[in-house]
Amino acid sequence: MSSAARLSPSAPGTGAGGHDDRKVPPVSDMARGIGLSVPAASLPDVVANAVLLQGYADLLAGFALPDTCEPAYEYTP
Amino acid sequence: MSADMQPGGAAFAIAADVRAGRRSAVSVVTGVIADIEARDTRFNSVTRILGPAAVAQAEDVDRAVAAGRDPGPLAGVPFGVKDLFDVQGEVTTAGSIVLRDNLPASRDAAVVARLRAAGAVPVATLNMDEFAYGFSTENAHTGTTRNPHDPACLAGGSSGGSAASVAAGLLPFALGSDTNGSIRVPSSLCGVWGLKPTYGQVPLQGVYPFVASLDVVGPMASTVEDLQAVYTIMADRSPMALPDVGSVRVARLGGWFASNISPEMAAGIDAVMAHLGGDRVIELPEVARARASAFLITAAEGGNLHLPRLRLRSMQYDPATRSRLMAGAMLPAATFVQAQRFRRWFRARVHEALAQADVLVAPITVGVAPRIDQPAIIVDGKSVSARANLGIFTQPISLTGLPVLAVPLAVAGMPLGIQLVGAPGAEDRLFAVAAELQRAGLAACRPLGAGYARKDS
Repeated sequence: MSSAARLSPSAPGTGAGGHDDRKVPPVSDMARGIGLSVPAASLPDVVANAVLLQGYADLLAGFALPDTCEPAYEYTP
Repeated sequence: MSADMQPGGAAFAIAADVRAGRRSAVSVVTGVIADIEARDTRFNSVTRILGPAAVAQAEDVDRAVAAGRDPGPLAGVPFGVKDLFDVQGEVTTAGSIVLRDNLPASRDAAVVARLRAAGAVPVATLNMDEFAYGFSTENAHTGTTRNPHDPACLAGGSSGGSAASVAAGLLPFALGSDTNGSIRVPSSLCGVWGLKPTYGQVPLQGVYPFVASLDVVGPMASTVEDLQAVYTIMADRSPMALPDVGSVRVARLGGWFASNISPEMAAGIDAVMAHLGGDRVIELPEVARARASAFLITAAEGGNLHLPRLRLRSMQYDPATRSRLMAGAMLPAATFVQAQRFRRWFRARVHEALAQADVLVAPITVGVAPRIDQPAIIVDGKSVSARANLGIFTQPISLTGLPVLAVPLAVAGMPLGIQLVGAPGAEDRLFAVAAELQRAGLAACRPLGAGYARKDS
């Protein structure tokens, strides 16, 4: 089975796809939680990138891993 | 001739001349600096020329030759470093003004020190995406690096200055770093040789970090012989005895890696596979999720690295970098951990594939370099950002930490490159296949007029 058909989500600001059908992360709240102040001028781009990352996170979350699969923190190729 | 150096490389030719007293290292270095000053205004590959220090080191090389001492296998060979390698006495900027007030480096990065000890002379720092976060070398602080084969086109990134300086014939080799494809993508678009060594093999001491889980450093060069020689010194390993290429099992990656590629790329891979006699196609599972994992790990680790500075002076960052780092810093722990767990799972699948073949062939980019004024590529029928998506074929491989040799295909028109992916520590097999492709005329770096090759009058 090819996985090429599941390239999405697309990059922000490209005109491809769109964000209408995706949940928008609460960027301001999330930023506050880590002591970060997002400049107003940057907020649209930060939101767009957060949406992009959320799409990738959703894609990844849709794959069930066995409980025995440990994180690769000390990774040896 | 040193055992490290193979005949046929541009760097070898310089070193052979310097060692034999046919050229002085000072004349080589000053000639290269003059060439950069005269020609790089078209490409913007160089950010700083290290003139006085480079000439002083070249004088040391010449004194060693005159005294009959061994000046090293790379005697007098000029090279450049992506602006995230420490060079003693210089501020390491990582392509940003954010670090400009840091103290100069007190010593060289480990790999720079190894090359300097071999007689090579760092002459320039090279342009990059800010903090290596991008595939295009479009930098709000230092400008866009242009593709020497068509200055209207991108050079790729983030090691775009490194690739462009080699493609322009300004330098015989340069150093880059690769987290998600930052050696391979610009190597493809500029048509130079590049190596992403096995993750963890080459020291990162003195290299400004980006993503600890994925970062590696490696060389980019105009010949595969030079690439091998420089890599051998960077990795501090014994000269490699390459295996017989006929004994290397080669397969191409299908599925994800066969989709979205241009007809020219498809034809190039067909020709390579026909020559190598490999008709096997291997399809890795869940490549989209592998790419997603690399994307998420990059965002989380990169964002966390810069969070203290983003809190204090975010407006100093390139706007595109700032927004990506901020979004990454906010990623939940659950997402990051899931990506690291998926990495473990994907590693096992890739090793299953490597039980069937020694070298996996895949495209680096979907096609040739995009235009700077239209920085987009077509993926799944949609126009998407080149800066974010040029690495769709490199990011999944990055997640594995496997070694990859970027091969410039000998195509008419704008350059194209392919990945040779090997097992951990099996760089020798990659070089064996690469050398065969160069010998057969299927792969070639065609730099513009190489100033460093000019002899003293």
